[in-house]
This record gives sequence, C-alpha cells and structure tokens, in this order.
Amino acid sequence: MTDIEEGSNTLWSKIEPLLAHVERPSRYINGEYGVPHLPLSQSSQVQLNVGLCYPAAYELGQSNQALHVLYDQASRVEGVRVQRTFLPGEDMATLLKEQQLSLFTLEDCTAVNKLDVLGITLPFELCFPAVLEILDLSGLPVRAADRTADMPLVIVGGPAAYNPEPIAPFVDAVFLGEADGGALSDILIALRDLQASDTSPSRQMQMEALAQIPGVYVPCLFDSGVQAEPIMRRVAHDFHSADFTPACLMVPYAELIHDRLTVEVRRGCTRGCRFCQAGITYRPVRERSADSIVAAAVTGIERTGFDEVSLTSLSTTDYSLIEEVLQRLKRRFAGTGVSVSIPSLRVDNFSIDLVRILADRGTGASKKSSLTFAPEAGSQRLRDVINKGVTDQQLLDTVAYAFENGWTRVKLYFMIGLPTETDEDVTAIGDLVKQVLHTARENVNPSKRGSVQISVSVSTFVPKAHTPFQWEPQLLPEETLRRQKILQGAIPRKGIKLSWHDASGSFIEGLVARGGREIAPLIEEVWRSAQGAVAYVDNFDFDYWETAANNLNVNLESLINNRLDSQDSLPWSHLHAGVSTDWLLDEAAAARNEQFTPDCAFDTCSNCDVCDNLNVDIHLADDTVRAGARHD
Amino acid sequence: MTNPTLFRLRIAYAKQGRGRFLSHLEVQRYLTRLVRRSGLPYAVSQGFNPQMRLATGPALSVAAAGKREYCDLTLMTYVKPMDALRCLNEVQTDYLPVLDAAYVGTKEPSLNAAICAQAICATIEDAFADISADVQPEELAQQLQAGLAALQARDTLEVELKDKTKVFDSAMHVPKDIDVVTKGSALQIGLTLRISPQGSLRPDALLAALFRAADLPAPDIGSVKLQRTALYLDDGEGGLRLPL
Ligand code: SF4
Repeated sequence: MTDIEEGSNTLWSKIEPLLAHVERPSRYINGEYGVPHLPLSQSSQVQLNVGLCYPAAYELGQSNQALHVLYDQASRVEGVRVQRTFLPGEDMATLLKEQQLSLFTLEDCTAVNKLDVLGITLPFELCFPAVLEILDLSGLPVRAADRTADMPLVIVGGPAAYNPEPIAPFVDAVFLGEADGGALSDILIALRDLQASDTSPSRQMQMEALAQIPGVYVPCLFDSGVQAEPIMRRVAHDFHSADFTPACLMVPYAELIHDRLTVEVRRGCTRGCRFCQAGITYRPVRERSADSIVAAAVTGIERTGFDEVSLTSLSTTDYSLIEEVLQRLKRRFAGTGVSVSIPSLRVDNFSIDLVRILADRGTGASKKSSLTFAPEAGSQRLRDVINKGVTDQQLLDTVAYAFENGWTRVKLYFMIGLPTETDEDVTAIGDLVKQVLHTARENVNPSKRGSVQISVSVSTFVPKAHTPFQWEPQLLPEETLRRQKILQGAIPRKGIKLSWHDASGSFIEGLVARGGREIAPLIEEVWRSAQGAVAYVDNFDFDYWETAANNLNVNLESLINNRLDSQDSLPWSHLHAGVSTDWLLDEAAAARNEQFTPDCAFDTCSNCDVCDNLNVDIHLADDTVRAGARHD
Repeated sequence: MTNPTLFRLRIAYAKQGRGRFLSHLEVQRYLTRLVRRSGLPYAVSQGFNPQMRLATGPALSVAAAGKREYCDLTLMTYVKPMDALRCLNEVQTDYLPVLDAAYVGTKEPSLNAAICAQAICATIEDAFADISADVQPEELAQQLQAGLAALQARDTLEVELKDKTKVFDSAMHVPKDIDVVTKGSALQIGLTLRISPQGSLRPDALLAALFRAADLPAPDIGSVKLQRTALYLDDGEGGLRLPL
C-alpha cells in the first residue's frame, strides 16, 4: 500500500491539486508516524465521528500536549472515530473558499461539517475569532442557534473557557476543567449511546444529555433554566496514578513550534500568584512518580525517535524530585544525542545542583540557550501584593550562580499595571534590571563579558476570571503607553533587549477575558468585517477591533468591565473553578495588606476549598516534603 | 580522520504517495527519528550538541516523489544489512518506506559529492485540457521533441528564480533526449538531468522551458506529478552507476 485508502467521503482528490499552491503542504497530508489508521472495513463500526480542533496552524496545534492526551483518550472509546483538524494557512483557506470546499479532517480528509462532534480547544481569549473562521470554513453557521441537528455539536474547553460568555452564542457546550481522567469519555459515551438509541437524536436531546455530565455547561439550557446549578470544574482524579504513556504517540513530519516529546510531570501550581488564572484552575498540586516519569520519557523517546524530551508543568522546578529525574534521564540518554529540557525556571528554587545538571552536556539545556525568570514586579512591595515570594537578592544570587556556571543570557519577565502599582514601582523594574546586568557581568567568565545579554519582556496586567484580582481595574491603552515610557527611561540601553506587549492587545484581551454575552456581537463583527483575516494574523492587529466597534457603533472603552464590585454577579458567576469566593476575597485583602500566602504544596493549607469542593488531594512525588505541612 | 571502528550503511528509501509533499528538511527530520525508533546503534557527532551522523543525497523538491532515494548512516557496531532493514521497516511510515540497505566504504565520497545525475519522470494529468482539442498525441510528442532541439541549439538556458536569473550551459544541462509517452489524457515525459555542485537545473524549470520552446501552454503545477526514478554516481569510466 503506498497511500491511505480513500473512503467514499474523502475530499482528498479535491484537496491534492491545491497542495502545490500552498505553503507547507505537509500540514495537510496526515500519515504521521503513530497516527492510528482505520481500515475501511472497520469504518462501518464507527458510531460517533469526532473532530478535535486547535484554532491555529498545524505546527502550533500539533505541539499542544492536551490535544495528544485527548486524542489518545477519545480513540480508546469504543465506536468513536477521532480525527484532527486545525486552522488552515491563509493560502489554503482562500483556496477552500474559492473552490467551495469545506475545512477537512486530517485522518480521513472528510468535511468537518460531516462530523458528529467538533471539540475545539480555547488556548487564549484572542483566538475566539479564529473559532468562528473554523466554523465558517466548515460550512457551518457560526451561531449555534442556526445550526441543525445534522451538523456537528460544537464543544469547547481549555484555558480560555473559564469565562466562555463572549463565545457562548457560537458553541453548543463548554467543558470546564481537565478532560482527561474520564470526562472526555463520559461526553463521548453519552453522545454515542444517544446516537445508538435513536439514529437521529434532536439537538435538544443531545444538549440535555450533555448537561447531565459534571463539568459541562450548556449555555442555551442555562438560559432557559433547565441547567440551574453552578457548573463545577472537573479534575482528573487519577492524574498522578494513571499509566500515562499515550498509546498513540504522533511524530510529525513538519517542524512544530514545540518539536519534541513532552512528559507532563506535575499538574497545578499553588505558589499563589494572585494574577494567575492557571494557578487557580489547575489546583491542587499533583505530581507523578519519578519512576513513571522516567519510564514515560524513555519509552516515549524509543517509540517516537524524538531527540528531545521536555518535562512540562506550570512550574517544573517545583517538582519535588526534579534533580533525581534529571540525573536519571541524563544517565539514560548519555551518548545518544537525546536532550532533556524544562520549559522555565524559578528564581526561588533554582539550586546550584540544578544549574550543574542543566549545564551538563546531554541534558539539552545548552549554555548558549537563555535562562528565563519571572520576577513580574520590580519592587518588593509590589511582589508582596501579587504574592510573588521572591526577593531581589534571590534573583541576583541565581543570576550569579548561572553566569558563573557558563550561561551568558537571561530573560526576565515583568508586568506593568498590576493593582496598586505606582510610577516608583515601574522605575524599580529598571533598577532591578540594572543590578541583574551588573551581577551578570561581574560573574561571567571575563572572556565572555561581551556576550552577556539580558532580555526584558514586559506585559500588561490583564485581570482574569476566578482569580483574587478578578475585580481589579485594568489599564486603558493610554495609561499603559505612559507607563511603558517611564519604563523605557528607567532601563539601561546598553546590554538590555527590551520588548513589551502591545498596549491595545492587552486591552482587548482584558475586554474579552471579563466580558459577558454582550461581547459576542463584537467578536462576530471583528471576524465578519475582516472577512476572516483576523484569524490568521500572527501579531495582534487593533484595526480589526476598531473597525468592528465602529461598524456596531460602540465604544470599546465603554464595553470593558473595569469597575467590578465584589457584591455584583460576574459574567462567570455560574461557573465554579473550585475555590470559594470568600477565599478569593481574603486573597484580595491580603494583596492590599501586602501579606504573603504560602504555597500549600509545601506549607500549610490556606483554605481555598478546592480540595473539598473537587474531592481531591495534594499529591507530591516526595512525601517527605510535606511532612511538616498542616492540611486543614 | 576516519574512525576504523565505524560502519557506513547506505539506505535506499522511497518518497511516495502523499509523502511527495514533504520538503527535504522534513524528510531529513523523519529519517533521523526513524533511525532512533529502529534502535540501530547510530553514531553521533562530537561537540556540545551531538547530532546523529546521517547524510542524505541531493534534495528532492516539495511535491516531487522519489522512487529510490538514499542516505548514509554511520553505525557504531556492525549490524547485518538485512537485520538493519527489518528494524527500519518495522517503524517506518507508508510515505517513506525503506527499500534496501548495504554497507559502503567509510572513505567513499559522500552521496552529495558523488551523485552526478538524476532520472525524472513527469506525469501531466489532463495534459490536453489547455491545448487545442484537435492536437493528436503524436503531434504533441513531436512538438516537445522540437522544443528540446530548440533548447539544445541555444548556448545557454536562463532560469528565473525568486530574486535572480540563473544561466545554465545548454550543452551540459539540457538533456540529450526525452521520452514522451501519452496514456489517455495523461502525458508522461522521461528525462535525465545532470547534478553538479556548481548548480543543477531543476526538473520543473526544464519542463517549463521545454513547453515554452515547443510553443505549448505550461501545465498547471497542481496537475504535474514529478517523480525522480533514479539517482546515479559517476562510475569513473565516463558512465553512470547506481549508488546501491
Ligand atoms: S484546599 Fe488547601 S491544600 Fe487544597 S488547594 Fe486549597 S489551599 Fe491548597
């Protein structure tokens, strides 16, 4: 056999001639190593055709770890055929529109509109117009109310689903939480069984079946009062205990953004940064055992042939046995050219041993690569407000260690616009950066002093739903620009590479992140007036949003939910991330009082209520770490 | 300096089916991952960032298939070629199957330095669609042969690239003959082109020039299927031989 068998529904013969006219045609050809092949003889046993979609190009979507886990889990459900689809390149999208062809799945090259279910990950708020473009390219009406029962059910989930109201009119259901560990199978089994009991179930029946499943929010049933209780986020209870090496490990041909094997070592981070949504929505901390991580990395490399494995989590250096795992993998991969990497480092637990392991050949963290730290704020006062328990001295000591040990580059992340920030706090970022530069130059090998490079990346604070700062105002673009100017003056020009997020991009992100249903028409107009082009821009383009606002005759600044009151009902009040509102308010008060809340993974419980509400416990790979901690 | 304890395994593989849409870089990445999956005892380069010692032959462009492409893999221990082939076959994909493997001397020149010619077969589906309906297949073949003669008669052949024009010596780069076969509405053209370190004439550029010289409309690139059917080494006696 030299090619994939072509089923009767395949669009391949129409897509193939287009491939000579598009960039990176390998995005569309399927057939990567590890993708399960469904023989035509078995296609009649498929009861539910499911598409998993990431609303960005293949090389970004295929890098997404969650997509692999969900694909693997869905493919284990009997009677379910799972396939992938991504936002095509703009060149391909234009050709599809010209030829009136639907967006297609990779595996069977069938039209997306022929699927039973389309699951879309929402990685961040600004991808919402891309979701509309995907629906439109698939020949589907963008509004859920206009879609009929013979069209796929559109279910979204992922990090940006915690305030889904701005996108609610376009989707049928929203999943809240971790879909591995049983939730995805619950959804697919419910829909499959419904299909089996009634070959053409009505949309209402499908929605009602979904509404029964914990963690699933069905906006139209909530609106009509059928679904009433707040929807509680779900966790994967077996995260730390399950055998997690996926059965299908896909190895792409095309170069991905993150082109490596990933092994998730830890879920949750309870450091408690008060601006951080992921710190809330993945609570509590659960760690996999060192043995299972080493086994997953070794078998994963053997089965895929990747030359790098990345140990991922929200904060990998917090993993309680990180040094042991790195040493074991380093020994195992010695002489093979396979490297081990970790995505980011923390200032406060960056041990000298870790520096040594990472600096060693064979762990992949080449000294030429950059070290990344996120102090977030320049002054100690503001770091106390945001609960970033890091001191200037810790940062400088870490930089000294690293530069002594051969590194020559470091990247620092800061935020402006954090609650209570003054101009002095902004200037303090410049002071800290100067000290870092000085320390780096003092400690680096004198022959390399010229190659010392400090990169400083500054984003603008965007208050996010479900965090202690969810009620806080955000900067309007004009004020952001003023503070960026102050910062520019405070940062030395020589030896520092300064970059920042576009002020208007953060403004729109905030508008969508805390918006309600009223934002939906704006998103639709942005997509419609840009004729889909907004979905393909690599960098944020404010013009699309301004044009759409003008078309709708609305003022963008009037749409922003900037003065929220703790007594008000919020657009996401019916969705529960597991933490209690009282705890969020306590944390907001602690921020104003510059009080520190310790990390419950290593210290006492701060009573956020997640463990009780979700019936889950902290689980560390090294039990002894929590020996002294009290868990109320 | 050559390490006497290393072994150079030459591997022949095909680039076929949808795999023809892969770029050369993508094929190279695939091959290194294939080798790692196979468990073969590959050697790595020295230095801070050790890389697998695997070298491919001349690049094949995106959308071109290859009937028999080659790469040289350096092994640290001897593995019987049949066993190596089996290990590779177990973990390959349908788009890039491994066909053959055999050892070559570690002192032999690299594939890229040694390969001097390539045989190409271009299949144009619906070749008559853009050409006047009353043109008969034989006439089309004659027209293309006349086009070839016209190209040969020129001293040079100019090829427009993205940002520059490249000039090729016709005597060296324009093939001596071409095979033209019509099958129903499809047209098949077979030709052999020289590959040289100073520059190689791309098959699609030659075809475009050929159609132009024959006064025929250039076919749509989406309807042309290019396949490299063979790669050749110089046999040292003025002839050609296969790499494996
Ligand atoms: S309930 Fe306590 S232990 Fe559990 S996540 Fe919240 S603060 Fe941590």
